[in-house]
Amino acid sequence: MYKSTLIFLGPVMQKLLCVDDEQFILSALHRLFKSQYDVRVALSGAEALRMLADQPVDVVISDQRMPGMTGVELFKQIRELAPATMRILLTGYADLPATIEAVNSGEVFRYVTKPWSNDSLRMTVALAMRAALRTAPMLGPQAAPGQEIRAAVPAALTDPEVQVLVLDRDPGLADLTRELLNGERGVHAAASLDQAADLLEAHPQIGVLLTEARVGSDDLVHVLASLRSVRPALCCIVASRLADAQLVIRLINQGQIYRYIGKPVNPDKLRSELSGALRRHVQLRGTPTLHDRHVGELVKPIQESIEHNHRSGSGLRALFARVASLFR
Amino acid sequence: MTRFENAQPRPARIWLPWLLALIILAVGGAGTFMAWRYFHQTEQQGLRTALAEHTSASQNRANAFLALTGDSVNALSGMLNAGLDPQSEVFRRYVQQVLRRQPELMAVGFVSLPATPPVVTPAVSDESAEVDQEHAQEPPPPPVTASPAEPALTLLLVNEQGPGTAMGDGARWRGIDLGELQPLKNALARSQLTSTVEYSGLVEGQWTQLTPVGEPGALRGHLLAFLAPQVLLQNAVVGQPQDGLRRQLVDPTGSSGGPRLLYEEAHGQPLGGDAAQLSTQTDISALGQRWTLQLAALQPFVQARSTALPQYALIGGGVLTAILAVFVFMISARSARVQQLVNRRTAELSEAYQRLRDSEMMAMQSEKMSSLGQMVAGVAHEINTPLGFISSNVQLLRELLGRLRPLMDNQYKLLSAVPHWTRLAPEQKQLWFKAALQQGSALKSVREEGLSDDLESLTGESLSGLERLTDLVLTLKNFSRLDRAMIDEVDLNTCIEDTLKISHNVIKQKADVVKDLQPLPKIRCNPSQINQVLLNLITNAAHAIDRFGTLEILSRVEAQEIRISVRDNGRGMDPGVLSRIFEPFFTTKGQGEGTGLGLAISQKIVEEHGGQLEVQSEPGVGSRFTIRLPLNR
Repeated sequence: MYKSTLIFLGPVMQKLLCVDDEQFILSALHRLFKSQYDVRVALSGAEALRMLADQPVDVVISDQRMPGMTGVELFKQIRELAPATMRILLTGYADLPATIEAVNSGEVFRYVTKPWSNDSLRMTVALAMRAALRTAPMLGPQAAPGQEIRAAVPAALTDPEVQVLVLDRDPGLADLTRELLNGERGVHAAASLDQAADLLEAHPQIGVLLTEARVGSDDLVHVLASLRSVRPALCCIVASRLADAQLVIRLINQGQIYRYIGKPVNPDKLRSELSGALRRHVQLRGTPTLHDRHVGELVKPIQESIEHNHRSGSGLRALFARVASLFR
Repeated sequence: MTRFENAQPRPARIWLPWLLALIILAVGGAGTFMAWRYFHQTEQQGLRTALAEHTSASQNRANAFLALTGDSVNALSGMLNAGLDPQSEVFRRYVQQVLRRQPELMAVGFVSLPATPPVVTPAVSDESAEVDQEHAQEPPPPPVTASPAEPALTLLLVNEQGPGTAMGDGARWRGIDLGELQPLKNALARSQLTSTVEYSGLVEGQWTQLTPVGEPGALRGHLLAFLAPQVLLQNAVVGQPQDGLRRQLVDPTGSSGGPRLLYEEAHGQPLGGDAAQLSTQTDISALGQRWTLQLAALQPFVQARSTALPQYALIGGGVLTAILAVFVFMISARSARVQQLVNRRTAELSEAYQRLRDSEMMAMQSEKMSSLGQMVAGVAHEINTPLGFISSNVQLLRELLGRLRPLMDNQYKLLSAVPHWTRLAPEQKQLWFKAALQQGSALKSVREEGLSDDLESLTGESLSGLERLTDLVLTLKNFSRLDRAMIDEVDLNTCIEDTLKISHNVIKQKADVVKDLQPLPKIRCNPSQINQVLLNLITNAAHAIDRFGTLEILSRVEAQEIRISVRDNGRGMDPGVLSRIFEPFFTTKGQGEGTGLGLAISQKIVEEHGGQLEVQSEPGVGSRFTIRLPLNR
């Protein structure tokens, strides 16, 4: 492999695994990170899994399009084998199905497109490394294959009081949600950002947000990013008819959404994702350290956003104002 | 199929059947009418001819009877001329025979003359205007008038039958001074001179004929005959009871001045209406007078001579015309309907053909776009990967250079002090050593980091990446032939390589590529189309493989053909799918995943190049598509 100079900076250097079928990409990544981390490389998903079986790593960076196993397939397996590992997808082509799979099955921390900015990638990897370091203990050492993240959550933490907020102009989604949850828990419906803000303020038990990707002409990425900073335990599921890969990437990177499902919604799928989201929320609420795993890419400062969106409706501004007030 | 583009519908002409039927009816009607009229007229002609025959027959009979009468009288006068004494019994018997035979002779008599011939005096002669002058003075001697002894009717035998009875008693006649009857007198006088029958006319309302007896100049008398011509004529014109005719004998100068109906007989009912015109009128001259005979056809006459032919003609013609009209109507109506239907169908077909052409174009366009889209997806990744590491490397380069610059600056500072070493103060030298040690350790760590190796490798890799990008852009240009001629002499192996490069990203995830390309001669073709076909076959092969497999590409020259085959060990196709695989819009992919046109278009392209696209497949084993192109075109 590559000669790497190990510089002891205190505790043992964290490990980074890079997976890509393109040799020169691996070479570039290695060159970039060798001074900070213990960089391993693999040319295929299979090779990566073999290496992980020998020794776990903190962060995995993988390409999507590889012969044999795709990046998302690899991540799916890593989720099961080593749930503490932070997963970053680095890909040359963003096609929508792969992107959606990346968030839903792969639960990626970031979705990075080639070509990338070295500084951004360093920041991303640094955040991922920090999260991995801080959360490895509570997600357990490398669990046995098949054990999912759910097992780490003590049963006592499932809380029937957690409520769901549905934000969509079309009331059908809220109705469906109520139907699916069978009255087990409260479901609030909002048709605008104003209403949503009011409900959030009024009901701190809201733990899951089911929302459209756009409400009116505002796209919710900034809103979700802001909400995350205020309510980091809030788990977001986006249900949308829109087929925009770029939007989904921003929802992943900045919004840190939990799941993305397409409309028309498949009720069974929605039910399973809702229960997953509820569990995730409880987990996040119970263990604040886990929030590090869902730190979003930095959005432009709120003030700038307000100026940028000054032509959009009052809803966003009011929400931001409220969010800002909550912050204080 | 281009017929449909310019299909001009022939006009249906709905009005034609009606027109033809009307024409047939008109013509048939006219023909029937004419046939009827012909027969009718022929019949009428026949009737008239028959009528004329009857008329002339009557006329002939009348003439015959007249002649007979004349002959009888001449016979009698001949007897008298022969010396028979009119007073003799023999003569009387002859006369009575004649009278019996000829009812029109009312009476026969003899007018005798005195023995002495009358003296013709000048006074009688008008011509002797010369008067002897000598004798003018003396009173002329009294003219010795030819006052013979008055003729006397010495014999009169009356016909006891028929109108002879009108004669009444002959005594009346005996007493008549025949000399008093001027016409008779004149006639007598003339006949004495000429011995011809001079007189025939009415005397006392009776027709009279005087026939001289004797030689001219030696007349003995006149045979006197009283005739009733109407009797003669009546007998002449009498008809048969069955002949169905009405006969009228008219005396145009009757006693009252107007036409007098003398005789009428009718056998049958008169005809009605305009058939009453079927009659003839003819003149019969007898005894110096004209009589009019009118013959009119009555029902029996007409019925006996009429056939049903005109009616048959009428009915037959009418029926035939009607049948013909209906027949022609039906045929032309059907033909018009058919034409209408054809026109409608043609219009529908034209429309459908146009829609089909449009949708075919749209589908081909969308297939092109979708295959283009597929290509772009793969190509985008192919481009972004080299860009990724090149970009990262250059960013790193800048950082590393940023680190090197201060080192180089320091190096310069340190070394630039060396020429002035001797002039340095010891504490300066001390500082210099310290700086030099620091520089040394900085350089050491740079060395230990392997910075120069890094610089070497990152520039080398970046340049290699740039080469790759250049090649990719060139391949794209080659593949699409954007800046080259559409038709060219091309080595197809180049097409294969180009297409493999373009689709590298799509294939690498699904299959290992095995190439077995033998040298190929250049052939004349449209390389961008061939590339399209190859791309289609390669992507199909990749899709057919479920997890990971092998894609084999062969190129050969065999039997005056270039053969390129693309083989995969994917799912394969069962015979049902295999038989339809080149069908337009047929696809085994889900909705929205494929247009189903790729292979149809590929086949069309290969066929346009004069070649063939063949397929072999076995389910579970794989498929092989072979392009065969002839060497000489």
